[in-house]
Amino acid sequence: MQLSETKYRKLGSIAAGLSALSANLLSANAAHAQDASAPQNTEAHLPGLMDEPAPGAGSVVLDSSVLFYQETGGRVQAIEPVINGEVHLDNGDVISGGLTYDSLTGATPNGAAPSTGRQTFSSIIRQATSTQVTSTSASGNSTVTSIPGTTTANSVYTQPARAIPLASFHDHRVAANLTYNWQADADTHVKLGGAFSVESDYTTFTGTTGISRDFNQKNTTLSLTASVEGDISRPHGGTPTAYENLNTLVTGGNDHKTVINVVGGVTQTLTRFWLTQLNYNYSTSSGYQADPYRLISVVDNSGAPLAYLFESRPRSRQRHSFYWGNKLALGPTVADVGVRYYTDSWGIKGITAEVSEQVPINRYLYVKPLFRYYKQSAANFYEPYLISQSGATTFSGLPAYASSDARLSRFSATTIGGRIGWRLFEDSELYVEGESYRQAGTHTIAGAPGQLAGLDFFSGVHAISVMMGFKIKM
Amino acid sequence: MIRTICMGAVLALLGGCAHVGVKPWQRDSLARAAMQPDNEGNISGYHDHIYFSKEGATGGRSSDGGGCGCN
Amino acid sequence: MNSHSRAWRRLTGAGLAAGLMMVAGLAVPGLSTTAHAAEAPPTLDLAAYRGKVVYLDFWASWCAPCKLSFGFMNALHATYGDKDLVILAVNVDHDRAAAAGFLNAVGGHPQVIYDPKGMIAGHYDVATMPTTVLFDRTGKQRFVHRGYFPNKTREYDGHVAALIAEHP
Repeated sequence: MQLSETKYRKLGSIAAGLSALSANLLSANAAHAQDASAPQNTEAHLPGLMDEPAPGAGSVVLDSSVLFYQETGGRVQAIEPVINGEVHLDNGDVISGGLTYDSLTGATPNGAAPSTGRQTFSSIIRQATSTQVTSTSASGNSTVTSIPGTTTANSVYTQPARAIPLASFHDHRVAANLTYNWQADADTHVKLGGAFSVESDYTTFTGTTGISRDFNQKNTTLSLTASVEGDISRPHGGTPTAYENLNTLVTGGNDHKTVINVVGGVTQTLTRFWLTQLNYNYSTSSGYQADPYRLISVVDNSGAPLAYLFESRPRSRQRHSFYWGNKLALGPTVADVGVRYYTDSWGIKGITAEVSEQVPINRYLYVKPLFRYYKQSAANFYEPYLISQSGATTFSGLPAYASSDARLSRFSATTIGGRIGWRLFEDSELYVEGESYRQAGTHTIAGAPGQLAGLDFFSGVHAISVMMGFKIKM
Repeated sequence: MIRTICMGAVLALLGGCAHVGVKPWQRDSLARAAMQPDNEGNISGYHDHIYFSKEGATGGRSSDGGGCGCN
Repeated sequence: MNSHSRAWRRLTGAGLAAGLMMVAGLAVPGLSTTAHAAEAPPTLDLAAYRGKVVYLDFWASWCAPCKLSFGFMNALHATYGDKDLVILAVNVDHDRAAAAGFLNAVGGHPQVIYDPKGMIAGHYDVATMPTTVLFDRTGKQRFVHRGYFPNKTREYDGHVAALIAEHP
C-alpha cells in the first residue's frame, strides 16, 4: 500500500541516518570518510537569479542602462544612459564609479498663471551669432532674436488662452562619480567620494565621506555619511533678483548655493527573513534657491495679468527626512516595504509609502511589481499668482517670498510599475522596468478673482518611464 | 495617536537591538541578492532623479548593512 | 475628513499591509526544502586527528568569499596533504542541495561535514563567514582566520606551514 511504503521509506532513511551518525562518533576512520552523511534524494542546484550571493573580493560588476522618460501633453522628454561599475579588491576595499548622460527636451510650465487670453513671454536662450538674426519657429508661436556681441538671444513666444503657459527647452547633462570604500577592519568601512554634474546652465560639485560599523556579529550596522555640495546656477540671461520684472534687462550674473547633507542610520537583521533599516537625513542649504527662469503672474482684481515677475524664494532651506525600510523574505519571494516622512523649513511636509514584491518565476526569471504613493503639502510661500491692489507697474505689499513652482505645491502622486529580470547567462542580468507616474492635485482655485475662476491651474505630470539595462559580474 | 504608535514601534525596534538578530551561519536568506538593502542598481539612480525633479521631498535608503555578513 | 488625516490613513494602511506581510514572513519560517538526512553530531571529535594539523573551515553556498577560499584550500591540500594536513570543511547550509551545487562548481574533493543546525559552528564561536580554525599536532587551537581575503593568502599559508613544521 502506498502509505506503508512511505512509512518504510522514512524508517529506512532514519536507520541510514542513525548508522551514519554512530559511524561518525565511533570511527577512527572518520577522517577518511568522504562525507559524514551524503545528500540523499536531492539534486545539486546552483542559486537562482534572485539568490546569487553579493559580489565578493576579486569581482568586477558593470551595470549599463538607459532610461526613456516621457511626460504626456508635450511636456518633458528625457533619455538617460548610465553606466556604473564596482571593483572589489582582494583586501575587501571597493572602488565604485559611474557616468551619466542625459538629454532633455520638451516644455515645462514657466510659472505664469493661465489667462482667458493669449499671453506673450520673452526668455533669454543660448544662441551664438555675430549679427542680429530673427527667426520664427515652425508653428509661428515664437520668434528668436539674437543679441549681437553676446552668445544669447531673446526668444519671444506666445501661449494659447486658457492653458498653463509652457516654455520649451533643450538641454544636455553629463555627470560622473567615484567612491573609494576602505575596509578599515573586520567591522568597519570608511568611504570617500566625489561627483560632479554639468549642464549648459548649472554645475554641481559634491564631496562625500562616510563610516559604517557592524555590531552584534554584523546583525547591527550603524552608518553615518556627510556630504558637501556646491551648486552654481548659470542661467543664460543671468540670475534675476527676486521679483525682477520679466521685461527689464536682467543684469545679474551667476549665483550659487552650498548644501550640507548628513545621513545617519541603523540597519538591523531582525530574523532570518527580515531586515529593517532606519535612516535620518538632515540637509541645510544656503544661497540661491530659486529657479532662475520661473515667473509668477501679478494679476488685478479681474484676474487680468498685469506683469510677470521672477519668483522670490528664501536663501536658506533645512530639510529633515525619516525613512523606515524593510526587506522580507516570504518564502521564495522578497517584499520591499518602505515609508518616509519629510519636513522642511519651507513648510513642506511629505509622506511616501512604497511596496514592491520580487517573485521568482524560475531560476532565470523574476518579476517585480511595485506601487508607490506620495503626498506633500504646499510650501508656505507657494502662490499660484499674486493679486495687486495698487497699480500696474509698481507693486507694494508683495509677500517676502512667492513661487508658483508645482514642486512646492500641494499634490499627491502614485507610481505603478513592474520589472522583469532575466538571467541570459551565468552572472548576468538583463532587466526592463516600466512605470506610470501620475500626479494629482486641485485643478480650479476656489475664490480666484474674475477670469481666473474656473481656469485649470493644475500643472502636475503624468509620465511613463521605461528603463532597460544589462548587469554583468566578472 | 497613530503618529505615537508609529514612533513607538520605531523606538521598540531600536531598544531591542542588542540581542536581536541571527547567528552568522544563519544568514542564507539575508545573503540573497534580492535581500540586499539597496539592490536596485542603476534604477535607484533613475528613481532619485525623477522624484527629485518632480517632488519636494528628498532622502531615503542607504546601502549599508544586511547581507551575508561575510568577511 | 481633511487631507492630512487622509494621508495618515493611507500611511497607516501601508504600515498595516507591511505588518501583515511581516507576520506572514515570521509564520512561514522556511519554505526551502531541507533534506533531513542524518545530522552532524553536536560537537566534532578531533581526537582522531591527533598528531596531524587540522584546518577546520566553516563555509556555506551563499557565502561569496567561501568560493575563493575553496581554491586556496585545494592548493593547501596539494602542498601539505601528504605532510599531515587534514582539511575539514564544515557546511552550515540549511539546504543540502545548495551545498552540493557549490561543491560541484568549485571542484576538488574536500572532506565535508554537514552541520545544518550550526551546532559545531556554535561550539567554535563562528563570528563571520567563512571562519577557519587551525589546530596543531597536539590538538590545541592555535589560529583563527575570520573571513577570507585573497590578499592574505601568504599569511594563512604561513600559519599552516608553521604548524606543519612543529613536531612534538
